[in-house]
Amino acid sequence: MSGARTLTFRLNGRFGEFVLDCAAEIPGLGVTALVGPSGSGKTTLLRCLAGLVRAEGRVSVGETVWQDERRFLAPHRRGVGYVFQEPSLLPHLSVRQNLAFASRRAAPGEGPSLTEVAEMLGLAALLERGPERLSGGERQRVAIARALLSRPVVLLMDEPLSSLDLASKAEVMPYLEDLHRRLRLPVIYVSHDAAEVARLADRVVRMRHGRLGPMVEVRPERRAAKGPLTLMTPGQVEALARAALAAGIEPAAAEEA
Amino acid sequence: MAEAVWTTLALASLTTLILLVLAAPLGWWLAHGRSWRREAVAALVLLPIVLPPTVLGFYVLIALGPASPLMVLLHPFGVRTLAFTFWGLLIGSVIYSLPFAVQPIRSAFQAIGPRPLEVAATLRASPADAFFSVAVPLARRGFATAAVLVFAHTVGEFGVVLMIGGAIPGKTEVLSIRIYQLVEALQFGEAHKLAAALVVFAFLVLFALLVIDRRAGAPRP
Repeated sequence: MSGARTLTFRLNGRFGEFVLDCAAEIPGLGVTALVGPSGSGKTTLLRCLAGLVRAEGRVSVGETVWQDERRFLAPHRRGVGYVFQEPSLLPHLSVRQNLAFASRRAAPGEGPSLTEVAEMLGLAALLERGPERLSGGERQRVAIARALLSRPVVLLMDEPLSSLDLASKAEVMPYLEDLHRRLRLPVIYVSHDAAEVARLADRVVRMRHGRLGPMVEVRPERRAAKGPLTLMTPGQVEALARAALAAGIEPAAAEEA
Repeated sequence: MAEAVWTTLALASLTTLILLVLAAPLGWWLAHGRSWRREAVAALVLLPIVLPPTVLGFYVLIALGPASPLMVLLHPFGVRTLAFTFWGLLIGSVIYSLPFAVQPIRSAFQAIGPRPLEVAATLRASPADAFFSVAVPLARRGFATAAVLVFAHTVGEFGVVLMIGGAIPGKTEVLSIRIYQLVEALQFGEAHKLAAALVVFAFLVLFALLVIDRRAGAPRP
């Protein structure tokens, strides 16, 4: 896989009442959390970046232009990995076939094999199962593995944990943290769960009414301590959430002063 | 009588085959969007359900006759008319059963929803690739239903076949027409055998359809 590349975009679009108007440069490494209230346009922005929805503007990754005034690359030519909010496995295929669907169509080049990725996400024992015989957390792990196997140049994750119960969240979280250390590509992680953001994000961007706020770096030492989410009391989760949100929104420099 | 059975089976099988291939892209196109153009085409496809078979047969007969502009195109190839031939019958059957192929396939495509195709696109599958590797397998029940319906409907057709085919034994005489002629000739014994066989056939077909429906509802093993 070639070196990490910056994702640059400037997008405008009107979707019914909703107006999307945002621009950003997403660094080629690490997880950029996209936070904001529901209806602020986070999913729409991701869908525009993937090319699933058309907006006006320009999107490029490194030197490659995905869209500008003259061209619009179809989603299958962009090389985005997309993890949808609800686990979206192809229902007619087994876990192995879902993964193979991605690896067979992956971009040419080096990358971990199907077996390695399955290992990384703890799926080795589930490969022959059909999607309907998996738990929610297992399904989402397959969806993440599948997205990685297509060797994306950008990984978009749209609230991958929000459809899961607390236990499943706690089950998937360590895999996400592990990936975070290994992946060498820009990741946009949409979430409105501050605890998730605190544990995964390198930087946070806030979205409101279709517009993006400034990007704020989260220093590693300020990231929340790792530990199973289930062991925390609701009060602790809330405290963590507040701390994380504060960490994400306030500029680090201001706090040092 | 064996000839009539053979003609019927050949006609029904070929009609089914042609319609599955034809209805896949047509059903796909109709399943995506609800523009005026699409609804006009959908109405056109449904016409054979409401038209009397004689009307349909009449127009197809004219279209296949030596004077029709369609046949004039084929004159250089030594084909003067397709009326009263097996191929003419096949064309009539395909038109007559078109709605029974398109409707189930269209609904099956619609039932898939956009998500599996978006997943395929983000996994670098081109639209054509996604059509064959995702849409068609997910709509397989619609295809199975369409195949059974078309086959049965073709076996049971009478009016169109009578208008276009002319009941030439060994060529265009199918079972339903054979029964009609047996009754006209007062050969009730023979007519009974064929008629009863068709009743059993129709029952088995409908039974198979319901089983397909049931199995699709049950979880995968």
